[in-house]
Amino acid sequence: MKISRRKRSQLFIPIASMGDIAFLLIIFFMLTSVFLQEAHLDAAPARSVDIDELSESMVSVVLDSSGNLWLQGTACPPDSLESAVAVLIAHREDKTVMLKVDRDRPYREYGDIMMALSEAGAEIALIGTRGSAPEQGR
Amino acid sequence: MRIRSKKRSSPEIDVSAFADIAFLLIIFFILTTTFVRHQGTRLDAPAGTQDESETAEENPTVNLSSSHIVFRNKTVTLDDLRRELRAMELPEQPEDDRIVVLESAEDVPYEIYFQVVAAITDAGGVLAVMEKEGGDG
Repeated sequence: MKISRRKRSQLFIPIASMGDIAFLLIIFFMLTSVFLQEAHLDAAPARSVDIDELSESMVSVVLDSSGNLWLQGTACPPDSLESAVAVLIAHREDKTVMLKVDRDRPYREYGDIMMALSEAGAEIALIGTRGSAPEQGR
Repeated sequence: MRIRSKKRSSPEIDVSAFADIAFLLIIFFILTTTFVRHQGTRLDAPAGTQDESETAEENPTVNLSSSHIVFRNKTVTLDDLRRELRAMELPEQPEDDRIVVLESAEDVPYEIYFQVVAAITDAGGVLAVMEKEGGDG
């Protein structure tokens, strides 16, 4: 007797929707990503062991290694910092402004910036990095 | 005569490679993305002005110059300052007694200022900033 072979149906995984899923993932990451506005600026962060992680704020001010002032990644004259920040935070619930200053800039520069931010009604978050710096001499 | 209509094959765009392209894009973004977690300290400073002589008497004062940290008229290191601030148990004090006055000379580099501010804030102090004239104080 001839035994007929049973034809097995070929196993098939439908992958037609994989492209859709992948594009949805890309769109999700594009919409939820926040790009660093000051990535192109050269400002060595100050080091301290007494700092914590801070929540992200949408307003950033940077004083770079050359003493130039940047607001939201764009050059900003020191005289107009107060008014520009006041406008930026006017309708925000979170009034925090992240201030990043190059570690070697003198107080005569960053003192005025902190004063201007304070006058604008901002809550200042000083940005640095965790680490120990050379000890201040006795 | 019966004319048979020619069967046209329906046009189809091959989209099977789209998934590969999309996943390649995802892998590229995952590999090139840098996640930044900001670290720092909040400048918790009370607003207003205060008489200098009164401040000096009532609240502990840190004087900063580019080469020295002076706390309560004594030159200290940053570690000494941390120890002394912690010994004061500032978080348990009433708000007015938690104020630590910070005076800085104009030439003080930001890193020193930042370390002192972070030490004061970490110890539970409330910072009051006073401007000081001159260079190396």
